[in-house]
Amino acid sequence: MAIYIFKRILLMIPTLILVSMIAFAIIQAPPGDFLTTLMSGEAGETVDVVQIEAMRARYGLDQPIWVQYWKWISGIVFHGDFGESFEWKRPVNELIWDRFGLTVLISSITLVFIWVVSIPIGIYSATNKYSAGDYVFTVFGFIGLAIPNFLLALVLMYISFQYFGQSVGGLFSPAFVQAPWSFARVGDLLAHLWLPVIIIGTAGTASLIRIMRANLLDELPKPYVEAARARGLSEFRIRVKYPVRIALNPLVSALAWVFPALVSGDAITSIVLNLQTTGPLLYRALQSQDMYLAGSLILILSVLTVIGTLLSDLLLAWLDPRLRAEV
Amino acid sequence: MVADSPDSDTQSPILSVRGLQVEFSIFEGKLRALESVDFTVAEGETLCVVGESGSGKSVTARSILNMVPPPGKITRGEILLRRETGETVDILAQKPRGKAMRGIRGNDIGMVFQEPMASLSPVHTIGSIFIEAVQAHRKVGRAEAREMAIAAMADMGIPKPAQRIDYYPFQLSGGMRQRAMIAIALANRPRLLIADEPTTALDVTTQANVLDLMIDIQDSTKMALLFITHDLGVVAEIAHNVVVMYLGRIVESGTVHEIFEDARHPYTQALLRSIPGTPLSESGGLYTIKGSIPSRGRRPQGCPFHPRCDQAVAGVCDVEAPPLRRLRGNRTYVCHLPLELKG
Repeated sequence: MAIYIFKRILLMIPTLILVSMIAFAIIQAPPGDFLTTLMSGEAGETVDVVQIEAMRARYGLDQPIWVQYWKWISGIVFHGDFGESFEWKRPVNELIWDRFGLTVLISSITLVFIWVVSIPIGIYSATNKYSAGDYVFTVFGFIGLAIPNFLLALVLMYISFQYFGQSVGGLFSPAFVQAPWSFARVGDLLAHLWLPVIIIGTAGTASLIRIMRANLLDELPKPYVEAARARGLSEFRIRVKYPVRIALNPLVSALAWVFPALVSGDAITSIVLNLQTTGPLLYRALQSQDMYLAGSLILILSVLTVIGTLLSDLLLAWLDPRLRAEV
Repeated sequence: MVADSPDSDTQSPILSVRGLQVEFSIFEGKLRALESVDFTVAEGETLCVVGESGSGKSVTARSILNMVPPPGKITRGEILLRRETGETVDILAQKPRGKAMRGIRGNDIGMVFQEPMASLSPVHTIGSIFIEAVQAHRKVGRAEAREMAIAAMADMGIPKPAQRIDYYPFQLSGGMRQRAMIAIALANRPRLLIADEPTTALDVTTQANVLDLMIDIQDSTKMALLFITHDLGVVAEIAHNVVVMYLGRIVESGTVHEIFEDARHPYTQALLRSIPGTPLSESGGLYTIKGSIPSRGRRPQGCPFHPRCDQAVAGVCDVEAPPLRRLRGNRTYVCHLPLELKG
């Protein structure tokens, strides 16, 4: 097992190198660069051609792409320096970590919300197939899947404003936005958090209910369940120990892609709700070709995907002895 | 068969099934999977239930544990079990998911399934399943249950039981898996063991070993054994008494000698003729029964076997349901033939 983990981590290195190259290539792919955006006036400033040429030389934008790539990646690997955002005129480091903190907070709470709600409902739906309750959850599930998040966001914002008198948008009330951390600020954050958690979590909950239900329906008629019943175990014990446990495996492998998706945040929802997460930041950076910012975000998301895959593989190996035996 | 033979009187049965009827609600309506099934199993007796797939063998086994899978439902009959205390309980009067029923499953009645690989959870060790089975029925500590498991595995002829107990099913060979499965089924020393085609998934050598093992266990424990199989070779080796089923009904029953030497039902005769290498089949290659089991819900009129029967009499077998003929004691068959007996 230790050798397996070591091998997997070693394998991550070439994967990450490749991923960083692709990330860089993607942000270089559209014609032009940040300076052309600047010249077109989209960035809201006007500059003259001499200034532009000076900036182009300073940022190394006139050099070949592999030189630019090397400058960028070596800065990250050796100095933890993600470069500077053209648009914000600040180091990328300063810009992203705050937002990552909030994003990870919202995402992990959302993930817990999704699992806590969908796994029991999925189990109920599977063990009470075609019951009234199953149909009710199925209907809610499909509605949850079908409604776009931004629409749900608008509706829930209206409700929370109209009926609960909450300030709409953002994660803090106006009074706390710039305030230092305190118990009151945490309380304010929690009061605002439920909205994005429900909105971002609804679709995931709905689909996970379906997955859990389908997985469990596959497992319930298996002979090992019947054999356990023939040994005189109670239905509850049988289900928890055998089919539910095995039905969870696909959920664990889903972690690999759930993880980065959650960290990238739901960009559209975040824009609608005015959340200071990474989603809107990446969106804006891509629009304005803010090379180092966009590249860094894409790189970090890719690294998280790779790490998520590793984590879910390790978890699966821990859960399923058959996989352990093969490695 | 009502237990009225002298044999059955001296040894009152551990299990007696009377008038068992099971129906499956399917889209087309109600399908009768079992009808008027009667048999008894006594202490130390091996009763083989023989039939093709779809004959109702497995449903019979599950009925005895009161766990017929939906959409199946036991609609009639009684299944009387004599417990160790001497009291007799009607299994069908228990709630299928109730505590009393759970106290019988795995305790009074053990069951071994056909596919040892599929019947053991892939993500649990043999030991964990065994310990759980013991602890479901008696207050035993983990360490003690573990010792019991090791001893039971050794009894089953599993080498290095103290190590194998921590193996997962996929780490054992097919024969070892089935031995482990039998050890688990016998964990609480049941008085009746139901074995649903326990050797079908094994290769022939392993099959013989597992059969010998089951015979030995029965000799030493005097438990009753209900053995379900479609393999008449296995029946010849282990059975005391035999019940032959066709389309959910018992068509013939008797001792193993009576069935093999003096089969009365054309279906039983045909089954015997289909065994490779028996005198009956040596003339002109392997005998096969014509046709196949009718699909569900398409029970033929009259005698359900008549479309495949080479002795069927037109105007009788395809019209009237055949009578139950009782020769003596548990020796019965359900057929119109010979016609002169009618009346």
